[in-house]
Amino acid sequence: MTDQKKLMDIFATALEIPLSEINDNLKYNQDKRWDSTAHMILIAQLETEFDLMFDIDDIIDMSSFLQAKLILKKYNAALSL
Amino acid sequence: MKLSGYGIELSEISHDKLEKIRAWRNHPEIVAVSLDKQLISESQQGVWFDSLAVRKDCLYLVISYKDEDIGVVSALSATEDDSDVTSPLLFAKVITPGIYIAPDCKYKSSVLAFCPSLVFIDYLFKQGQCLELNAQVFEYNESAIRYNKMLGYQEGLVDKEGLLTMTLNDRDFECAKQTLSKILRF
Repeated sequence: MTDQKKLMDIFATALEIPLSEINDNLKYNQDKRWDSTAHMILIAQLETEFDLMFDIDDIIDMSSFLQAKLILKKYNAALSL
Repeated sequence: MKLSGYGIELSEISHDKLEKIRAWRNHPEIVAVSLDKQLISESQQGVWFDSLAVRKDCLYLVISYKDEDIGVVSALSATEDDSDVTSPLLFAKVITPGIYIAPDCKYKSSVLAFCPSLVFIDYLFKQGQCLELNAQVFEYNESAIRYNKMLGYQEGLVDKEGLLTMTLNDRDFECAKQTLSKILRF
């Protein structure tokens, strides 16, 4: 599974939305399904699946699918995202 | 009074913040999920603010993050004494908490929204004789129900107005706090 697909699966599961709706424009202040609880679940799953521990400022700033990719790359440049 | 933790501060409401808070409270997004749907006038806000100086049965605090005001937390005593008078918060066995994050706050849908509750609920259980928090949430407010469950609240019954009662004790809160603290590493 590619890193991109793994990331999309995590988003789909945490936010309970179809894979088809996961794109760079998905943002937490524009989609009602991405609430604070979904954000908490998302971060927990990202840290587990990518074996990372984010800095709290990066957690709070992870406001979109695009931002998630950028932050993940910051922690692991080898990820293909 | 000032409470702090998890990167946020909770402080007493000052006069200069009244209009900001009234605008938040009257925003359609907040009214939609509030038990009291009435819009608050400027004079009503003033009366409410003046009452805070003498009331012992409630507490309202402004939430701030990195010096920006981002919402309000509240606590109302839900216990009455033998004379059917509402007990002061200090002696209340049951307290009704509330929270809203400002509608225009860019962090409102982020994990930061849990931080004020972690600080405030911790304070409520430790400040007096509180044994239980009792929240009422509209059954259509799925986001708030999920949020409360993450904090350890248990679901109760839904009344004929569609209000779900959720209750939280200190043991369940401490358990939830441990879990949330694994992510909220301030």
